[in-house]
Amino acid sequence: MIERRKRTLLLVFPFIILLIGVVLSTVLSIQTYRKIAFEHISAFCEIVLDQSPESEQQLLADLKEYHSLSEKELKDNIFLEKYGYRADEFCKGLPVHTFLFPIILFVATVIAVVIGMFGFRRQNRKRISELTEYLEQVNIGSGGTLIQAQEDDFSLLQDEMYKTVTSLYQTREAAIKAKKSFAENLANIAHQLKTPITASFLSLQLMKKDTPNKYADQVEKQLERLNRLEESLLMLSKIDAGTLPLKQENVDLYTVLNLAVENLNDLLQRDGITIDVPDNGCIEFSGDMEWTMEAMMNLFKNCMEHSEPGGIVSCDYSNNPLYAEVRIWDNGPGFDPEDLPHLFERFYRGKSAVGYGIGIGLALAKSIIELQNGTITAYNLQNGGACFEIRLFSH
Amino acid sequence: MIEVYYAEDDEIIGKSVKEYLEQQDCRVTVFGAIADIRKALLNHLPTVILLDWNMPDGQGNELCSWIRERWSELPIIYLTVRGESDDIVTGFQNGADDYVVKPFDLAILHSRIQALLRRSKSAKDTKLFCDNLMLDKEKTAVFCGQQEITVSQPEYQILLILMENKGKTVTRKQLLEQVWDSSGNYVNDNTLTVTMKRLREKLGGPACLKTVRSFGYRMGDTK
Repeated sequence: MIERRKRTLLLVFPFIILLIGVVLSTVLSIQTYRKIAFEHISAFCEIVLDQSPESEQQLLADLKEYHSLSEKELKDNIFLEKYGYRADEFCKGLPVHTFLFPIILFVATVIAVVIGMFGFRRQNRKRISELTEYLEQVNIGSGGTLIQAQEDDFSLLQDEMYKTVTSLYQTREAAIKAKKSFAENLANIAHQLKTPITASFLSLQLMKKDTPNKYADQVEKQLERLNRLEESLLMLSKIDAGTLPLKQENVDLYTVLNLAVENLNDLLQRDGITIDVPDNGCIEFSGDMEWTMEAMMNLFKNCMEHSEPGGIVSCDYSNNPLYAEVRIWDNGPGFDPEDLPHLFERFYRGKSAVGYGIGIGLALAKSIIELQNGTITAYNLQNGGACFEIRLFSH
Repeated sequence: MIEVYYAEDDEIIGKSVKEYLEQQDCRVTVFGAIADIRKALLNHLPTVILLDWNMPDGQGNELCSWIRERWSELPIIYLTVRGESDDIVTGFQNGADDYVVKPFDLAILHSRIQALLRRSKSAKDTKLFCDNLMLDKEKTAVFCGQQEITVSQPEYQILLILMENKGKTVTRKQLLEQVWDSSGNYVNDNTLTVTMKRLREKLGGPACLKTVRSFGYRMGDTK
């Protein structure tokens, strides 16, 4: 309430100054007018009496008559014009203060208006910057608060802003919740799928043990494929729902690459391929070891699929102040130029795709790397091999 | 004879595991609910317990903690559809000795059970074996076949921990703590990876030293 009164005062202040000035100048000019009339008559009488002292009685009688006249009766008296006198020839050399006062009054009023406006605008600007700051905080997600300390012209706007922001928050929370429950449902279904897959897989193993036949092998392969699809479904649903629990810890790239290779060991031995991890010392980035390893495994797998038996898949890692970089490449035929723009698209199966892939591995790797503030690009080396380049930015 | 208690709510899976393990000379009892297996455990202790994570009347990890409170040495293996690293870590934290993700190979399950049971005595022996590797605690020496392999102090320590825990998974964190931190020498992941890689190279990349995804390393006989 005090604030409001202050604002009203600020608005009224110039007018008060103006009013005081007008009243004062009116009073002053009446007084000056009286004083001048008195001084002039007095001086005139003195001159007359000096010239002819004998007419004193007559003059005093005339003065008495003049004194009794009201302003109204004196108004528009032009008697002296007959003798060639004019009003603007009177009062020569008026004192300066007569003009000074209205000027001071004017300046004071102007200053008062300026101060009033300035104060008013400053207050408005402060409120606007408060509201702007609030919106900025909401935008960067730190959830600022608005404290309604006073009621003013902006209160209504502030109220509406607050309501809008709150309803946006609610909408967002509802959306996140829906997304989460969707992911949970998917995860649940994916887990449920595993039970029949496991049951059929186990029954099949028992069947194979009793009566080995080629159809059992085919069913087993399909079951394995089904299992991989189910795992991909689970992982993609988690990434889409944003519920992938990515950690933020210091991860050593050498360890990630080595663990990826070690986990691929069975596949590598089966295909007779070696992955060479050079020891460039400890280079750390902030991220999630498990998922980064998953991404690397997918990239290695892609390179392995395009390598001849006995081939070598190479990798290298380095860093600079901006980012840590990992390169993974093979000596195969390289990417088909037509595939290059679509490599990381989900379910995209390249022209040279091999095996039972369903086009998820590279998309998954890209998602994982991008979630960790990184980029991934693919290009063909000059000698023909395919190369993936990953950059993990530190800021 | 190995006596197995198996908590599993899916009848076909339970039956298949039972059938296979009984062919391998084990005795298997399948329980469809946590309450049943608790009751049975209070009467009689089996050699090993297999646990499914999702049970109709509760979570397998609750049962696992419950068992650990009473019998700290009873071997427990999780058999579950949950293959994510977080779940696996939770499983081990609750006191599981091993973790098998469904769908699994019956033969692998059997060998895991055997590996788990073999390890219990080995900590007291002065000579530890795994495939053709031999570690002599008295001489502080490592042999591959007949040939002695020169290993550094941390490499020896890692091998010792893994062989003493044969059949059991040892986490990278455990290795870091026991090999380096305990001597006040704090190192990072990189050192462990480098040491592990050198050790593997010196031993000729033995098949019995496995990397366990999301968790750590395990040694176990492959033959």
